[in-house]
Amino acid sequence: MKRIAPAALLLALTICAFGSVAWAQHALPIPGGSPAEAPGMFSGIMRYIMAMQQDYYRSMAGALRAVNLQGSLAAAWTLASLSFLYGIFHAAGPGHGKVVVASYILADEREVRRGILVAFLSALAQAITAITAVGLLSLALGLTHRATAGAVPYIERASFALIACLGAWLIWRAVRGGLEHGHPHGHHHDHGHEHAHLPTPAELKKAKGFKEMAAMILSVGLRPCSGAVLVLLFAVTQGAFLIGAASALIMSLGTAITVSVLAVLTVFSKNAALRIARRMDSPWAARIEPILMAGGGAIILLFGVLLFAGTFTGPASPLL
Amino acid sequence: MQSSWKQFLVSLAVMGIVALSAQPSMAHPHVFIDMKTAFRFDDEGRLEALRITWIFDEFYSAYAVDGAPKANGAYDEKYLALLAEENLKNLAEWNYFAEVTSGGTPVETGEALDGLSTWNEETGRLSLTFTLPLKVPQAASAGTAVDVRIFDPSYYITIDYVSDEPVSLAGGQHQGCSVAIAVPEVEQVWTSLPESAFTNPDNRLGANFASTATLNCGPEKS
Repeated sequence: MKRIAPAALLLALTICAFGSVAWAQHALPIPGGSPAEAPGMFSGIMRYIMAMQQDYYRSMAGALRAVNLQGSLAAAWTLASLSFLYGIFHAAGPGHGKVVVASYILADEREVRRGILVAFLSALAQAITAITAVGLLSLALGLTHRATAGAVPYIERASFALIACLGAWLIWRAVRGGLEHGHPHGHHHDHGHEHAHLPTPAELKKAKGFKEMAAMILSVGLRPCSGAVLVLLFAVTQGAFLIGAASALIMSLGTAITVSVLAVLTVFSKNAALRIARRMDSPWAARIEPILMAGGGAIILLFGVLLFAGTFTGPASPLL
Repeated sequence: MQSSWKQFLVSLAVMGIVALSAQPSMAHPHVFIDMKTAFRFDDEGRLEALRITWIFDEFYSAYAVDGAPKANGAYDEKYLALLAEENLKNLAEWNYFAEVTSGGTPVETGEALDGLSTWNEETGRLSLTFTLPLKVPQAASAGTAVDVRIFDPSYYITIDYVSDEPVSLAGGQHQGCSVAIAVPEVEQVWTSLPESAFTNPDNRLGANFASTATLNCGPEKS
């Protein structure tokens, strides 16, 4: 059948798209270095917007001091707005589980609402981790700014290890599911069509997917939001931990919005791809779900391993 | 049939844009410094040193003095002196981020002197002041203007002149001298730099954002 080609193309495209997300989030070394090319207009503008997030970041320090020293409503409003905006832009940068959330949806999620829920819960979890970590280490144990910041990579390492495990688990589930699915059917009869039209029982799917969803939120959420950590550490030095915690929570609303956009887009493209696959009369199309799950799992696994390895090197600066 | 493909391709395209827009761990400043520079002259009207003041942002300031002994809103002087010494020791390796040229030719600078850290309780900001001597004093006459750029090549730190009195002239003889500051159009720099400027650390990203202070003495060149 000639229809195998579009199905394969579809898969390749989808997996490439996720690969590029993964790549964009984490600088992989490019062999031979990248050629000097002028940026596209869009990426140039995005870069500038990303640079602007640093202005919000910087302004938050002054705003936090103002809330602490004056306690005025206006100052609180300024800090809240800055935190929210900073969250939106900050989440576009590395971290915040975008790759993992998107790949997880690719692997194991179909509902827009749940996609958004996953995005919000992960963002909230990252803020809570930051608040807990700084609260425990800096406030309760009285560690210095430096020591607390130094402990963060260890927490991150645990998160990355869990992420890699989640990826491995998804691959394993896909392989097992794929085998169970593939064997009882003969290769000569056209089962793709009939099978694809069978609705998966929603309740069963939900009960099954819940474990993975929880695992995903836990693994992503264990990595504290770096922006929140910085603001919280600063808040501690100002004797204003609670103001910092409030700022971190508002920030997580902002990051959740950015991650949600990606989550919704992923759900849309995945569902469209599944619909197209359903109409195709090829054995590949019938196996699209386990293949997506394995592909998504592979990205998560690779990403977790790369991040984990990346925690052993850090930037050096003469002032730090 | 058509609509599914459309939805798929449109979602994929938007995702691609979202993905590509987030640059790979894009370099951006983490520490912000507001700078003032005094150009110090010798008795023969030559530039002999730069007295540089860096005012750190609130985040870095809080970080730097964290855990330091403090009484009546003032940090322990010994601690601040040690901090200045340590900062300058580390910065020596980077030549204090300074790049001085005379008529386009690099001018050598020496070890920083008279380092001083001060704390401003009102603003919650730490300052570092130091003198950077030129190994050979430079006469900035027409045609051999002295250019000073102070920047972190990695752009981990951004160093910008304060808007109020960013530069001053000090010391011996400096009649007829003036300093002009050229500030790059930051938006333009962000949007026009090639990808490699951000991904290759050898490209000294920070140089693109550095302001240039140009010292000119004597009659204007026409």
